[in-house]
Amino acid sequence: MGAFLLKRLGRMLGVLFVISVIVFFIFNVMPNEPAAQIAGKSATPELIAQVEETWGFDDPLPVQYLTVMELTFTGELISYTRQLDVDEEIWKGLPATLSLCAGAAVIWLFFAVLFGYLSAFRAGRPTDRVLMLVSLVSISLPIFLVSALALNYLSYKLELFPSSGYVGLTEDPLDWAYHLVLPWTTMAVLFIGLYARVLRANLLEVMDEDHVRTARAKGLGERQVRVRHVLRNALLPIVTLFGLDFAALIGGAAIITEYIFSLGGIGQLTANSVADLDLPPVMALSMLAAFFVVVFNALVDIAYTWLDPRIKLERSR
Amino acid sequence: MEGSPRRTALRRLRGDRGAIAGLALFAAIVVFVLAAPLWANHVADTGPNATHTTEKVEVDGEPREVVSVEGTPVGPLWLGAGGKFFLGADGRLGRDEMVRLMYGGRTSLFIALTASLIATLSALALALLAGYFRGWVDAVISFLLDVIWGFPVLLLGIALGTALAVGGLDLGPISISAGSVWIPTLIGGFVFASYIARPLRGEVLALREQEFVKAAVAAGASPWRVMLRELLPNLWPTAIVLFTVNVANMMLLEAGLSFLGAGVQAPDASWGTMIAGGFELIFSSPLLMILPSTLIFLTVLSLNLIGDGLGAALNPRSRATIEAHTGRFEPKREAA
Amino acid sequence: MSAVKSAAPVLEVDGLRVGFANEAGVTQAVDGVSLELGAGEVLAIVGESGSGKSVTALSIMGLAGAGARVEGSVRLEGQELLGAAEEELREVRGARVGMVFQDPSSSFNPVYKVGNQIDEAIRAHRALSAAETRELTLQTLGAVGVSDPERLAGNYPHQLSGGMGQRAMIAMALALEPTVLIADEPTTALDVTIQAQVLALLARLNRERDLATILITHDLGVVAEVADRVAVMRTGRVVEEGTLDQVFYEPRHPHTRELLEALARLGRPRAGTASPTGEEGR
Repeated sequence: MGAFLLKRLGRMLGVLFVISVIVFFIFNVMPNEPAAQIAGKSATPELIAQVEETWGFDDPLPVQYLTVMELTFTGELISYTRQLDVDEEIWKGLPATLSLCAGAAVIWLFFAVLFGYLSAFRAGRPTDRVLMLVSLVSISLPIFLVSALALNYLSYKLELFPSSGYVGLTEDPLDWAYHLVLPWTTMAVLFIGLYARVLRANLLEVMDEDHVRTARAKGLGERQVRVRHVLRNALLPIVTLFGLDFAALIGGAAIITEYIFSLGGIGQLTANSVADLDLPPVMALSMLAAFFVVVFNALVDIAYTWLDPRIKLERSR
Repeated sequence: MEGSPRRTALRRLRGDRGAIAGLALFAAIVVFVLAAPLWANHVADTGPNATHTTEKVEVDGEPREVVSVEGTPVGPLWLGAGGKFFLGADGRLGRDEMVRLMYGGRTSLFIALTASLIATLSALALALLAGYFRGWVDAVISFLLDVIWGFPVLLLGIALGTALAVGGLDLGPISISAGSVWIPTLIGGFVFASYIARPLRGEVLALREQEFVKAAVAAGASPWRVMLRELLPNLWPTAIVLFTVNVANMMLLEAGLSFLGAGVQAPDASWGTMIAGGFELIFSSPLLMILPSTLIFLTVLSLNLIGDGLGAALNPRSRATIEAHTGRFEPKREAA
Repeated sequence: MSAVKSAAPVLEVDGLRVGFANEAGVTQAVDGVSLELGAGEVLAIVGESGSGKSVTALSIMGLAGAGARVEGSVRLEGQELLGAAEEELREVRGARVGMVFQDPSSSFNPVYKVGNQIDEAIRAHRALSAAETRELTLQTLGAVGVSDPERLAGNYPHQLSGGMGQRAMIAMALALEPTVLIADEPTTALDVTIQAQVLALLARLNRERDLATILITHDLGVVAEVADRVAVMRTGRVVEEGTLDQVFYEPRHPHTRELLEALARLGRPRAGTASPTGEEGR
């Protein structure tokens, strides 16, 4: 087990390094005039010169890379366009983003398991067909459509929910949830269909396996067979999938959702920075999100070995 | 034995109502966007970028302002003005929404289809190389694919899009100006290549173990011959399914990028940019955001239906379908 | 082999027919099978693959699957099982009829420890405390010849060798002391030496507990070791039935003779070659 862990961590570090190189390349090497772009739209020649100095544009590439990495990781990145401290903004935005992602995840997992379970155990029958149609629609829905409809009808016309703003959990839990209901639902809708379909497929596969027959032969009740011997086994791949998706949320659906609902998290920070073509925050956030994905995946991978005994022992050999 | 695998697949596809519906829907959308010049010239009498802020239109004999004094664009007139502003005006600039939807659709579809084509072809090449040669070639390619795969799709697109938005791309022989539609296209091709390459690589590895491939190698066939003659023909089914679903994913990516400003740039329009414009007027003229979003929805839905149908037709219990839909898949548990 | 046979059969199968619907119509896997199992008796059901022997066994327990159309009668100590309510069948399964399957590594759930799965089987029928349940599990494991029951109970299914896994499976089937044991190809997945051990175990259990046993197999060699009576099946029907001696030495049906000849051929050296390993066809 120890050797496997080391190998996994080693690989992870390798990936993180290559990611940092790629991000560096995208923002500092690839553009036509990187210093000018980083300095921003309204940059004066003096500012551009200052950026060139700080970011080491006159140095050879490897040195430049190290300079930029140092800037990023010591929290010294500044947004020139908006005069902000990048890492401060990131810290400020984290609670909102995490609240959004975690809440949406809980909702979508709940419904996905419910739909997937019902579909699989009534496969071919009306319930299944309806749920699978709903799932298909769900995975095709662009977040724009859902949020447009939600904002307009539920928030504006019917005034059921607020249309924007984030309230901290510690300030007022009820208000916190109230402001997040629409964003949560908007994000959850996208993933429910996907997960329901995957779970359904897994369940159908597991249902045919020998150990399910044994469970019935032991005299277990049908519900017990389904939950302890079919569902439990079918959920395993979902864990990995979820690990991938959750981490990717931060760099994906969260950005657009936060922007549309003005939640002020790091997703909105990204969106605003893009709109202003403000590169330093985008660079920092790209790296942060990618790092998070890689680290989170590694953790999920390790956790998976604990969940599936077959893997655990395979790896310790 | 029955017909060839291809014929059986086609038969199954023809009987799949969902897939047929999907094809019909997608065809309708393609017709819709191809009809853009016809509509623009003969019905709406205006182009996608022509502004009509201060003009008036005759509706059932009465003149109506295209954009009101407060800046509110006129809503759908349907045939009231002979087809002009069929779906209304798109904002303060008073452009014809219907015309813009049609032209914007062309951009969106072009980007989605081309990017997916680039992604699929690159993926095929990478998968063949990695799967056939294995060893360090595979190690390097897999590693790079893993790295790209680790980047959240939208964020990678954003990173590339913002970096290239102002100055364009000037990399060796490739030189593209900043506002070109090719920037989001290439970005999409690059971003999604790894999502398609990984399942394909798995298939190549599996195919490689089969008798007919081993026979060809033993007979002394060159690597290119084996890859092109033996492996590639067997990859088409999976590749096609992955391509189809990828077009859908690409549409969503382009919309997201353009919405945020890192995709299609003004003056070009795509459904994504239209959604951004519509978002500003979400409460006063909700249709402006809802219409392009719905068109994207219908396109993606039709592609998913087709992709589902193809997956089921080519291989009833295909894991590729699941993989294709998630854009990722249960990582194969490789022995350490 | 038991010495005394009680008067009334423990299990009666009467005109059992099991069909499966598919695209091409209905396939009759079992087409009119009638059998009797006496108390403490070992009945071997022999046949090649596709003969319907496994489906017969599964149908007794109502485990043929949702797509199966089952007709006829199956009576366990007088109680009709076919068409009985799910609740009734649940009580029979595991507690009055135990079942052992072919491949222990896939027949156990891979994500739970073996001991827990046996505990689960016990708890489904008895209201015992956790400690008492585990006690019974370990006891039963010991009774099937496991030298370190605690260690085995703490293992996962894929950690067990074929022989150990099968013992665990047998223990799970017997923990609640059922009247009947159905073993579906229990030795097919095992190495030859282990096969002998498991068969010896089944014979011992049959003797010690007066456990009526149905042994399903395609291997006549296995049958010769333990069976009292034999039923030969082919394409869903019983073509021959009788005591072990009757079937082996006075076979009446051509198919039975075919099977016997195949068995004999495996044991006989080929002309001009050294004695074979006997591994043909395994």
